[in-house]
Amino acid sequence: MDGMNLHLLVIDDDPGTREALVAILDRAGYQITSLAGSAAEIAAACSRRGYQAAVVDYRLPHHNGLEVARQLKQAMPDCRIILISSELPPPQERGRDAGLVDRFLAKPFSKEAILEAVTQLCQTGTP
Amino acid sequence: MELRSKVGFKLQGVNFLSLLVALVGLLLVMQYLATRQILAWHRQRVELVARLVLAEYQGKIERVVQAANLLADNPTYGELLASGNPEALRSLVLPTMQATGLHVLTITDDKGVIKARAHDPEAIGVNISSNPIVRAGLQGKLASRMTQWQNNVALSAAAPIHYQDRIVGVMLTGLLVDRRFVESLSRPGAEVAIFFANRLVVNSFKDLPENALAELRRVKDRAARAPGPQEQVQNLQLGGHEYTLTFLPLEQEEKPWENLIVVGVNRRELGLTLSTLKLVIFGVGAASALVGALLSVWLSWGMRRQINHLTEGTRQAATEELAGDIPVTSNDELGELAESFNTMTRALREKTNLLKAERDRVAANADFLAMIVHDIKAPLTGVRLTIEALEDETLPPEINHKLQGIIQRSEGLLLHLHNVLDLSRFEAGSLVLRPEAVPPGFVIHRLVNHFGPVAQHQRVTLTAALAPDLPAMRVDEHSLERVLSNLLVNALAATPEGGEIQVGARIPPGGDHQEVEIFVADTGCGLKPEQQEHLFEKYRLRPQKIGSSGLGLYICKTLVEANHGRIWVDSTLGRGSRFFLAFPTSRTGEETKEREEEKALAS
Repeated sequence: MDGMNLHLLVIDDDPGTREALVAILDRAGYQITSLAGSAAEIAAACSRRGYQAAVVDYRLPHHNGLEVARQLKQAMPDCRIILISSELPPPQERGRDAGLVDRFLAKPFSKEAILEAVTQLCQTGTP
Repeated sequence: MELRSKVGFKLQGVNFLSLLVALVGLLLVMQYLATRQILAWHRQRVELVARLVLAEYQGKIERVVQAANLLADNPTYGELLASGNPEALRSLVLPTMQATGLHVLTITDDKGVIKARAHDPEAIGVNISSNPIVRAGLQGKLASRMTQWQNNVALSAAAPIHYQDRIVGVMLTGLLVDRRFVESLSRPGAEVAIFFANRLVVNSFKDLPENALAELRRVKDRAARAPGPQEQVQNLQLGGHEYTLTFLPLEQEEKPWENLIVVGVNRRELGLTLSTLKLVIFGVGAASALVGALLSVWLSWGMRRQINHLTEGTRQAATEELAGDIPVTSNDELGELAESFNTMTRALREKTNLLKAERDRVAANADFLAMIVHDIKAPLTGVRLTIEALEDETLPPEINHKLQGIIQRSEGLLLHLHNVLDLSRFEAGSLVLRPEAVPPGFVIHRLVNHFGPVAQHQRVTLTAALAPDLPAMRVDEHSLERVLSNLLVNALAATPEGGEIQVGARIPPGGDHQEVEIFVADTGCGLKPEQQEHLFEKYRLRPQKIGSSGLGLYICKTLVEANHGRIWVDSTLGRGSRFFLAFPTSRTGEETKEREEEKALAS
C-alpha cells in the first residue's frame, strides 16, 4: 500500500465498527486517529489538523455527521470526507451540504468498499 | 348575508322568463279579444247610425210626399185650375212654398203643362208630362223619387189634383238635395254623402280634396262588388280622419249602386278607445309583472340562501376539511338536502378520523421498523468489518470459510429486513421513490462486486453481461438495487456449486428503444410451470428456499411496478431460471445521474 504518510481520521460511536475500521485501514498502511465523536475530541482534531481524509458516521450521539464534516472542512479544506450511514440523509440536508461530503457509503459496507474509497480519494487529491 | 348563488339567479331568471312569456301571451289574447269586441261594438254603432240616417231620409221623402198630397187635396187649387184662373194660382204658390219650407212647388194642368211654379216662374207653359212622377200624378197616383232638377238633384213627389171627381192637374213638390240636406241627415261623428246616377252629388265631409273624392268613389265601387253586406262596410282614410263607411242603396229595385247614401262614421273615437285599451291592458300587465317579480324575488331569496349554504358547504367539504355542518334555513327539499348532506359529512368525518388513526398507526409501525433496521445495521457493520479484518490474519481455511458464511448470512438478514421495511413503507404510503436517469451498467457492476465474494465462497461464477451503448433508465436507484439484490440472493440459493449466474442488460430485440431489459440468469434447478404462475404473489414459498418468507419476489414486483417497470420469469425445470426486468429509458437521454440529482436538489 502507498498510504505510508497519510493520516486518516475515523469518527464512529459504535466501538465494533470503529475498531474494525482502524484494523483494516491500519493494515493497509494508513496512520489512523479514531474518535467516538464527542465535541471536545472533534475540536481537538480540528486544531491538530494534518488529516488527509476522515471517515465520519452520520449518526453520532450528540452530533449530526454533516455538522462534524462542516467543522472538519472549515479547519482543513483539503481533508476528504467519507460519510458512512445506515440511511441516506434527507435530500434537503444533502443539498445544503453538497460539496461537504466527498463520498457516501451505505452501512453495512465491505472491506473492499472502504479501502477503494479511501485509496481513490487520497490518490486523486480532488474528488 | 351576501347572496352569490348562480343557481339562485338562474332559478330567478327562469321564474321571470316564464312569468313574462305567460303574461305577454295573456295580454296578447286579452288585447285580441277586447279589440274584436270593440270593433264589433263599433260596427253595431255604424249600423245604427246608418239606420238613423236612412230613417231621416225616409222621413224627408215622407214630408215631401205628404206636402204634395196635402196641397193637392186643398180644394182651392182644383177650383182655380178648373176655373182656368192661373193668375190667382200663381199668387198662391210662392207663399205656400215659403210656408212649407219646400224648394220646389209646381202645379201643372191635366196635360202636364206647368200652370204655376213658385221657384221658377220662367218655366210656365212648359210641358213636363214626360217626367215619370208627373206622369204617375196624371194617372192619379202618388209618386216620389229623387230626380235631376236643373243642375241639382231634388227629392220630389207628385200628387193628382182632383176637382169634382176628375183629375185637373198635378201638384209637384220637392226638396233640393244640397249641403243643408245632408247636414240635417248626419249625426254627430257621422258624415253623409249622396250619390245620384253614379255621381257624388253632395256630402257633409269637411274639406275633401279631389283625390279623396276619387277614393270615395273607388271605395263605393269596391263595396258594390262585395258579395255580402258584411264586406260592404269599408274603411276609408279621408283627409286627416279615418271613417267606417256604410252604403245605403236608394230605390233598390232599379240600380241600387247608382243612387245611394254613404254614411261614414269617424273612427277617431275608436282609435282612442283602442289605444286606451292597450294602455290599460299593458299597464295592468306591467304592474302585475312587477308584483310577480317582487314576489318571486322574495320566494327565491330563501331558496337561494339555502342553495348558497349548500354550495359553500359542499365546496368546503370538497376542498377543505370536513369541518362544519351546513346551516339548514328552509323547510323544503333543499333543507332536507342540506340535512342529509350534513349526515353524510358527519359519517365521512367519522370514517376519515378512523382512517387517519389507522394510517397513523401503519406509518408509526413503518417508522418503528425503520428505526429497528437502522439500529441493527450499525452493529452489523461492525460484525462484517471485524470478520473481514480477520481475513488478513493467517487463519485455517475452514475457519475462513465459516467466517464467509457468517458474512453471507448477515447479508441475507439485512436483505430480509430491507424487504420488510420497504413493504411496510409501501403499505403506509411513505415509500419515497426518486426516479432519475440511472445507467444500468453502474448498478450491475456494483452488485456483482458486492456479491462477488459470496459467489466465490459458494464456488459459483458470477458475471456481468452488458450490451454496449446502453441508454440510462428512469428508475429509483434504491428500488432497482433492492430488486436485483433479491434476485441475486435467490439465484445464489438456487444455483449449486460450479454453477453460473449472469447479470446483464440489453435493449430488447425488436423493441423501439423505449425500454432497457435487465436479466438475472442462473443454472439452478428451475421452476415448474405451476410454480411460475403464482411466483410473484405474497408469502409464496419457493421450494428451493426452505425458511424463506417468500416476501422477496413479492417486494420485487411491488417495487418494479411502482417504478413503471415490468418483471417476468422464463424458466425450464432442471436447467435454470431467467428473471427479466424492463424499465423505461430516461427521457432526458444524455443527462447523467448526477445532473438529475442536482436538478432534484435545486428544486
